[in-house]
Amino acid sequence: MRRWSGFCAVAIVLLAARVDAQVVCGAVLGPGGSFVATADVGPCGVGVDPALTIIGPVEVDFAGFRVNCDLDGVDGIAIEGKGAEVSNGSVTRCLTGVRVAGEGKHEITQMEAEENEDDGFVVESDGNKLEHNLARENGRFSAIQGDGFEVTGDKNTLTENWSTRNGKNGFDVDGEGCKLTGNIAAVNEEVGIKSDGAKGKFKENTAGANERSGFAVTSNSTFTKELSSGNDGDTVAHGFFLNGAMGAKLTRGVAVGNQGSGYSLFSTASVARIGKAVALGNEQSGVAITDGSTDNSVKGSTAIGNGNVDLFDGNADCATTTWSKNRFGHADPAACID
Amino acid sequence: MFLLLAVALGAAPAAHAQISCGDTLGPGGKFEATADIGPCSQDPALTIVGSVKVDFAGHELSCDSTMKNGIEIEGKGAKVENGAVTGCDDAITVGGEGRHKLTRMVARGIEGHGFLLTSDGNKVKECTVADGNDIAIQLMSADKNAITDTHVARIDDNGVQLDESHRNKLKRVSASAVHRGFVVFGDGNKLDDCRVMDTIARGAVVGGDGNRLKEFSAVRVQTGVWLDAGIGNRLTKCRIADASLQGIAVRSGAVGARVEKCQVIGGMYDGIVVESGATGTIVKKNVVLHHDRTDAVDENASCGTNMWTSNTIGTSDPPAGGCVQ
Repeated sequence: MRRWSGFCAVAIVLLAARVDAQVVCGAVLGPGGSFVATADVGPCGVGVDPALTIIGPVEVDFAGFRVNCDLDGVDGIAIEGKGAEVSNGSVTRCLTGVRVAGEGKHEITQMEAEENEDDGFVVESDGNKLEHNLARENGRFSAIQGDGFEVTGDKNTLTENWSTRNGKNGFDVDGEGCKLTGNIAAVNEEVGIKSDGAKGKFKENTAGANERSGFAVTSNSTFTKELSSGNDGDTVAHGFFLNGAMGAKLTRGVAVGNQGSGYSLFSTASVARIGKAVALGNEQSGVAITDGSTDNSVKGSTAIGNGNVDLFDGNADCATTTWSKNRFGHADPAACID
Repeated sequence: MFLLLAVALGAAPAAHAQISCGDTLGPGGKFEATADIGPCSQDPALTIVGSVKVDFAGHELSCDSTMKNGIEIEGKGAKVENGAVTGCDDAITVGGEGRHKLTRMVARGIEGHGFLLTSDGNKVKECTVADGNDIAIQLMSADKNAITDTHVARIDDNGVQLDESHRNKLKRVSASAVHRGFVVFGDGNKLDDCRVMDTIARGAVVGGDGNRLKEFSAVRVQTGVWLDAGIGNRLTKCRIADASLQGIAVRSGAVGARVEKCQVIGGMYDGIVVESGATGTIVKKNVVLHHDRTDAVDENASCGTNMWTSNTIGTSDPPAGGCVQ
């Protein structure tokens, strides 16, 4: 609380102005009130960090205007408190574009984070909703490799956001119990969608043309109807790469035309359940299970036209993996893969 | 000579057949491959004449040169499924009288087309084209075809192209890392829930009349959707992000185009542009934000006969308070 005391006067002045607000660098909006920006903010320079603070509950509509930090190494927008509604703005050339913190339950809609030095959006608190936001070209032109969206808080919901051409991952989800639906990660320099947090629910997301794997999974999350297509880079880019995941469930996912395998389970990934998956035309295998990855099941899936074998199990006699009712051309070892 | 072979193979119902390079399968009969085929020196490597059912059972047909074609489908009503074609020029040509069905077929590592459709009423389902140098899927004077749950990736040319082709339906078709995503020249075509990522050029180009794009997504493209000269083309509920030129362009000569309920977010130039000479355009209930130059532009004086209503726009030309709203 003491941290914000210096800005209280600004906050109260802006609170009184119910609708249109000429927001300035270092301003604090809220708690309370509803603001509509009337101009761009900044460039905000050294000594004003973050460029703008929003403390919920409060409504802030940027009306298409932009917060600019001019690459001075300060954060763009910090959202604190609880229940802020922030929409229709963009943040550019800051350190982190939008930091969603405080007690959570904020709603971030139609915001853009572009060309920030580090991450586009960092979601630190719990129970936030992000919808129709765009992160592009963050962490790409500085020494820092940034993600489009980095989610460290729990139970956050991300719906139909886009993340493109970021220096690291499109979405990096470390928080537990997060839901991602209908998001698109394309042309990022590392992974499209990375799932490290437990018990996530991913549905109908798309990862395409990223330079590493479309999906990289170390969690026990569930993935339903995902599309991973055309991922291709200097390191082998798989459609779905499970590394260290225990108990991940992938259903009806489609992996096509990737540089690596459609589905690749590394030795540290086990107890994965892959059902009704489709792996077509990948350069390596359709589904590949590395020696040491155990207790997996691959059922009712289709793997055709992949560059190596369609289905591969590196464990002797498939060990404890169940392969059943799959449709495929070539399998290795053929004797234990059905 | 091929006819004799066809009759011989066709006589065996649901036969597990060792299909060989240069074979003609059908008309009539059911065949299931028992091994890979090729590399084939024949051109085409295999001819399939409907009606016939050919199940490749996951096996692959390959050409010994990318100067030669893979499978040519002729006749009517062939069912071809569960196979791959690699190392050929055109992988699969779908001609004859049409009404063929391709299911779970893959074309990979090819010089020419993945699937070239020149007949009507065909169905392409759950197929893939990857690593190609020519147009991945092309329809030439081909009408009433249905392409669903099909994906193309890493193609040097266009993803899906319809030339002089009408009333085709594409549903859940995607294109990743291609030159252009979808090129539609024809009338009454419908694209539903199609998506494109990472193009050098446009996400979609739509010419002809009465085409419909619904829930179309384009991310990291040059121009998201280009509605070219034509009458009554519609774009609804689309999502376009990170276009390097324009999100949506309604081109000069377009008549009665409709852009509705789209999200056009973030781009290096303009969001929605209605060019000078486009008439009767309706731009309604769109969200257009965060473009480096202008979110919404109408090049016609006072927007001409175009109507902009209920859009959420950051910057516009003419500016706020004018006809772009």
